[in-house]
Amino acid sequence: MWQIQWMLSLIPDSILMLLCAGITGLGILLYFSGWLMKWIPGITGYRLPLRILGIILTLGGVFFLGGYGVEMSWREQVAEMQKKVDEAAAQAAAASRAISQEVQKETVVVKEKGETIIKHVDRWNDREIIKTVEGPERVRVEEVIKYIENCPVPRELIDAHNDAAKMNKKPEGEKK
Amino acid sequence: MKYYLIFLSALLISGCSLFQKPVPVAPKWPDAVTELRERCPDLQTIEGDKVAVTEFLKAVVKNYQLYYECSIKNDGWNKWYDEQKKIYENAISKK
Repeated sequence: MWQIQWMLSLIPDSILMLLCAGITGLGILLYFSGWLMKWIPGITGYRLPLRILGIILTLGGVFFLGGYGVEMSWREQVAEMQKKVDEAAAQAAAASRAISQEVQKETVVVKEKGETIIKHVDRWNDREIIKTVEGPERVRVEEVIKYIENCPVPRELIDAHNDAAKMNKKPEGEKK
Repeated sequence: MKYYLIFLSALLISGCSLFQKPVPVAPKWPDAVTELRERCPDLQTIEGDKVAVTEFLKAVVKNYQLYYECSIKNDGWNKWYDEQKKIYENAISKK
């Protein structure tokens, strides 16, 4: 059945309409020509078959006209849906692009902020921080640096940190 | 005779609507943004015996950074899904 519908969908609207109207018109013509034949001697015997053929063609034509109406309304729905789908695809692509750019931009900002803080921490590591302070504040900074250099973090705290960092990992031996 | 014809014509015209077929066009759910599909990296751990407090702090800062990067992706996923859902539902609505 779908093959017929598919083939029908390939025929242009105007030709389809012409075919339907043609079949209906021919049927009506044949039916009424059957009436006219009673006045033409010699061919009156063809009257009945001609009128039956006329009726069949008229009914067939009406059927096709109805089918044409349905086909046209279907094509209109398809065109409307296709338009909506194309618009939606364009909108979806634009939204994806905007979100991608936003994510990239925000990630760069976070990375830069993180690197800035790490650089600041490194200034304590390499004593660069001392150069930026004077007076009693400098004494305090030197004390802090002395603490950094001489007091390593206890192993227990590092282990606790590492355990927290790996809390999403399954214990060894357990299947992933 | 003509009443039969009228009846049959009406029947034939209404009969056509029985063959109404579904519209073969539907919107496609779009592919996700590549950045959002990247897996969040593992958090940084600290190695070594004598670890200075600044090294410890740097690892913590790095892990905060990783968390926020992942959080941006998660927010992005939610936003992407909400927007695509809105667009999809709008496309399939009858209006």
